[in-house]
Amino acid sequence: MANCTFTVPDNNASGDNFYGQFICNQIYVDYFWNTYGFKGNKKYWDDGFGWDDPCNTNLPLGRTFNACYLLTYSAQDYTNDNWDAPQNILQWGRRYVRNNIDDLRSKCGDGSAIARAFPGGTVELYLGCFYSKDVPGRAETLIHEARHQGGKPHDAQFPKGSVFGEGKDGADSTWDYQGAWTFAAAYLWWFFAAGARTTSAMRQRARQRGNLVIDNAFARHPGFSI
Amino acid sequence: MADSLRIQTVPHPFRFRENPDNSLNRLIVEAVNRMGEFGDDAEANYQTVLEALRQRSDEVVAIIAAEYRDLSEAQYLDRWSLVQLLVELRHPSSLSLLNEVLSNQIPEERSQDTDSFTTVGEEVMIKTTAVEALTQMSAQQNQDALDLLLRYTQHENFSIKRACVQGYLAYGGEGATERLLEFLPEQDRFILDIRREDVRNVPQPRGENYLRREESGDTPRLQTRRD
Repeated sequence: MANCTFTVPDNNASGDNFYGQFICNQIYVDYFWNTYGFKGNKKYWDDGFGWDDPCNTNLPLGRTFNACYLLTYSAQDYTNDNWDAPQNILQWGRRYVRNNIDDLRSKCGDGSAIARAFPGGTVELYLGCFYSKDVPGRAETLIHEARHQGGKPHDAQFPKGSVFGEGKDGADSTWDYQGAWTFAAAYLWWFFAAGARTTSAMRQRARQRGNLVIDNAFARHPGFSI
Repeated sequence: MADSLRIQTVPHPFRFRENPDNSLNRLIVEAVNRMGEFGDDAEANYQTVLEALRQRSDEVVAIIAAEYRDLSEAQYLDRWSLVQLLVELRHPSSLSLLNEVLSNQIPEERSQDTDSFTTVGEEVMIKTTAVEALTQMSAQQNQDALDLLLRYTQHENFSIKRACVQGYLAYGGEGATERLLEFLPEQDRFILDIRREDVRNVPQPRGENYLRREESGDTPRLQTRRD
């Protein structure tokens, strides 16, 4: 067991204050807890991580609920999460996460990774996910890890000059491989293009992160950008 | 094994040490905070604060510059938010800070698990947002901004180079492609072929494949106003 500490700014650009005012409703708390993989994992969200204070968005549970809220309600027509075109990942992304992550757990982590997927549907989130990522970035993390849980591993090495580590395993070969990086970038891209009830600044943030992924996470550059 | 966490909170990430009583400080904090607003009025509320800041852009840019330099390296989101404010202000006095942001050396990678979290990637996002500020100012016929875009097409980082090339192509006017062809080393000329695209025109992810299970359920009604 690890003990960790963190200093959290109350007012910054992460979005947690504003998503936080909506998650504090028992309907949502129950919905997120029961459908996004928290259920059965109380001990991993207890002892400072927020189980007894789910409305507190300075704590990991509230911050993860914020990402669930964004995943659930960022499409204009949020009631439609069909897979078929013309629906897009902004609409069905939340369904994909729910269908693939069985156990969602929080831990301190060792300061290196922000999240990891384990065989059997378990995803662990670490401090960096709660406090280095904004709310759309946390949703991107859940989409990325859900793709791995769905059975799609990375299949290539990062390209020359990649910020993710030139030559290291962990890249996707191409956009058409439909791996975790394609899912993550496409989610951010749709959030930038069609995200509802958000600000131009958050959409711009999603664009910058999406372009970083497109430029650096594919062995062969897709040839387009956001 | 479960872990234990203790947090401490601070009101906001900035210190405003040069002039703690300046009334603009509060507006800057509010603008940064409202960047993440959610709800039907989110964009309108954000724009209202920006409009108040634009009334005194010169002073605001000076405060942003001081705060940007005062933040620690690891405050990536906070540093990004200040550069994003420069995108919104589009004020010529920000050119000096934007040039500084882009010319600062990217510190060495701090993360040991870079495909999960990369500090170099965070630095690059701050810089590509600075490029966006230059691009927006170039759209307003600011020649100095356009010149900086051209200069940083030679940046060592690929994403920064790519963003500068696309910004220059968009607003560099007649002959922009030819100037870039002269300016770019041969191995970088392929960047000219990377196109900004509408997401509707690229191959879409298919969610129905690679599922652990398939189930759908009712979604609670959206609430965008506090009860």
